[in-house]
Amino acid sequence: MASLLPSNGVLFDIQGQAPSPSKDFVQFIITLKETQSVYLDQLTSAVWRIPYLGWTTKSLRITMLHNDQTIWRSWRITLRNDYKRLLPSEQKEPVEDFAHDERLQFDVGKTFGDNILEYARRLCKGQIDYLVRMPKPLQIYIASFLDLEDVAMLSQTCKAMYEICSAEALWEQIFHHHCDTVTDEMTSLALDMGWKQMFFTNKLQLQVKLRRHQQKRTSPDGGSTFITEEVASNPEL
Amino acid sequence: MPNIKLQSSDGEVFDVDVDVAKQSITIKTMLEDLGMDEDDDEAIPLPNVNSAILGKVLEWCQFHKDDPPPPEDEENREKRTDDLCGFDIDFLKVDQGTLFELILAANYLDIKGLLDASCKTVANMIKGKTPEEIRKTFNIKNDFTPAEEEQVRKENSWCEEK
Repeated sequence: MASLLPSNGVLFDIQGQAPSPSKDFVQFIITLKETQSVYLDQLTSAVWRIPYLGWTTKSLRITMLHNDQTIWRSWRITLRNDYKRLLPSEQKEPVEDFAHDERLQFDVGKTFGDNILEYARRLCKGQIDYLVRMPKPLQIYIASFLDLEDVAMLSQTCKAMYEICSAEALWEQIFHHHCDTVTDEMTSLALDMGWKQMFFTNKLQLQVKLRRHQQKRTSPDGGSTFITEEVASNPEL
Repeated sequence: MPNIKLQSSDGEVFDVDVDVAKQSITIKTMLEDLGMDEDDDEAIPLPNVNSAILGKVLEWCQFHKDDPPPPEDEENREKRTDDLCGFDIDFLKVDQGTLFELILAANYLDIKGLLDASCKTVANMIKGKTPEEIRKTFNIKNDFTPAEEEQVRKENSWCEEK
């Protein structure tokens, strides 16, 4: 099934370093199903890496049998030399528990910020970000049904949507939809300057640009000298 | 009416009227290219659609089987989203997971009517909302830094000056 959900079951995976003075390395994962074997490998490599840097690690494991779960791992960074007892820690719990686990919410918020915390809370409530996970052409297709104001609002939600809302394929449709006639010259100019840019160029400027573009295409020297003469002889341009 | 068999990704076989199934251009092309006989007993495999979604898709096709074919001219199509028929509005009152899976399936099976109806439903969920409200609706993670957010807001300020 070409599903929107990742085949490895990992909905969200983020790593980072806790803010001062802690400096612990942490990883926060939200999964849809148990994918234990993959994690054990990762954990082993992490244990190897950290002593090499002279840091110490600590272990504490709470395993619960559940399909959808949150996993919180931390690699304790400390200057004390009892590191042999400090192995990496891993805490797993069902996603439903995340809403009540204030300690874990606090840790996530402190390390990754409020936006990530809010996102994780909703994910754990089963609100999956399908829209962002859709294939790009379909996202653009959805956006093509929006009004201009809504495209502007959607583009302010996140980087991926910003990219979708600036896509040339989308603005070409918007341009065709809002302008009565789109001539071949305009299409040719749009390939040069971009549909979005052209849409926001006012009509007077657009006429000047179209004329220059036309000359550039017809004159053998690329048109640069020709344009200056043209503009000089037509001051109202 | 002759029937054909369609097999979902999880192995379930659906026995459907050829005319209902042919609303999917993908299936229509397959039937024509492969020259499948009506009395052919072999099921057409659809490895990209599971039984839950295929069931919904066929329900939609069954209802719309007498619709005129969608107009061809892509360029001039009206971008209205308030023209969904009553059946489609109720049909698409589903959880977001199902709605987006339907979009994927309609795209894969090439059923223009269903693709448009489901995309319009999503567009209607976006329309008239502020960026924060859109984020809440679709659980979009705000990954802009405050400076970037300000920059993007300024870029889009043209729509506020009215």
